[in-house]
Amino acid sequence: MNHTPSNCEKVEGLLAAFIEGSLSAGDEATVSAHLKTCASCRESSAAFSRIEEALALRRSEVPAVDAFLPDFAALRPHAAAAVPAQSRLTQWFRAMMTVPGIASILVVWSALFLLRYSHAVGQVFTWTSLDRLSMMTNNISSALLGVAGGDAYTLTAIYLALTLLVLGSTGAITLRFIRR
Amino acid sequence: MPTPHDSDLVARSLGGDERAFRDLILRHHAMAYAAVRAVLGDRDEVQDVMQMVYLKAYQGLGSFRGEAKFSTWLYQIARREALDVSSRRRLDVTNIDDVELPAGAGNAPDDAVRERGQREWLGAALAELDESYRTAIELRYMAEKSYDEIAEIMNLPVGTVKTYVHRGKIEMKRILSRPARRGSAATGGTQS
Repeated sequence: MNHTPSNCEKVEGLLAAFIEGSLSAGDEATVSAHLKTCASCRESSAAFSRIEEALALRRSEVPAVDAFLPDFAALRPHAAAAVPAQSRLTQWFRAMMTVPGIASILVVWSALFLLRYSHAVGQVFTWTSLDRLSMMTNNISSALLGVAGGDAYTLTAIYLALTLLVLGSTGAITLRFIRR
Repeated sequence: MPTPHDSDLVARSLGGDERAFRDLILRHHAMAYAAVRAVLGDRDEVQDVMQMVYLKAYQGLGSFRGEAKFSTWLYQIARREALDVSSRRRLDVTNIDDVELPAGAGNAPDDAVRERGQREWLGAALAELDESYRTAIELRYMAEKSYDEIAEIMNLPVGTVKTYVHRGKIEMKRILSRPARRGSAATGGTQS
């Protein structure tokens, strides 16, 4: 290839691919022959070589992947399972220390108080239905446990059992609600 | 043991295998990083964007239908996230004329100094390129992808990708040979 401006222009367009080594055999031979006779294109070729050399450093700029990966544990749908296990009693206690848990305790104990002392309450508020309910509870306890009606200790034990039953159910329901 | 195909790793990831997802990302990390760098350059936001890219890929893996390659799908996420950040804050392009070249950057005896100089002027020159050229060049050199792979990732004909890379290099040579630059590294300090 002759050393003319148009030839130099053509070679200049091929130099990037020539340095990269991606030219066809024919084009490569043409460029090689031209470079032997053209100092200006050799200078251009040297410039492309330096660019190629600098570009080869780009790979080392890629940082390690770990800094960018998501926190899988936090993304797990069952992430709650990863929380350190608590004893069942602690879980139940925590569940009870919620608004529905405390409310249920107050309601149950208020009801039990009214049942236990409905006679006295009935005198004040003439709320005799509660008095009847209290008597009925006495009769049931007598029938089931064979204890004398009006036995304050037995009644208290029954009330406590009832309280635990209600609170346990409430706690279990609340716990399920919290976990969801 | 044969290397698992991307689709196998995707299926295992969807089944909750976090290690499979990590392997999948590791395989395409350089490509995703190059795609983000092509848009954002060397900005501080790159790290945040990369984290967002992988988080979105993890959370959206169920929507990957396998019609395109996983690399193409991930490239689109990376590019979209980078463009989103870029549109919010204009790219701060470093003016190459402001880059101070170390003495004799083109042929300094100290390799570390020479490399630092090369990185700086190369980064500044890349920042001035058309974004298509820059993306093709970053995928080619930073991610070390073949022209065929780049064509698939960018969804372009192979010939177009080659043209982008070669024109990008010609443009870089022109930028680095500007008369305003003192001792251009690309021309080995021969230009005035």
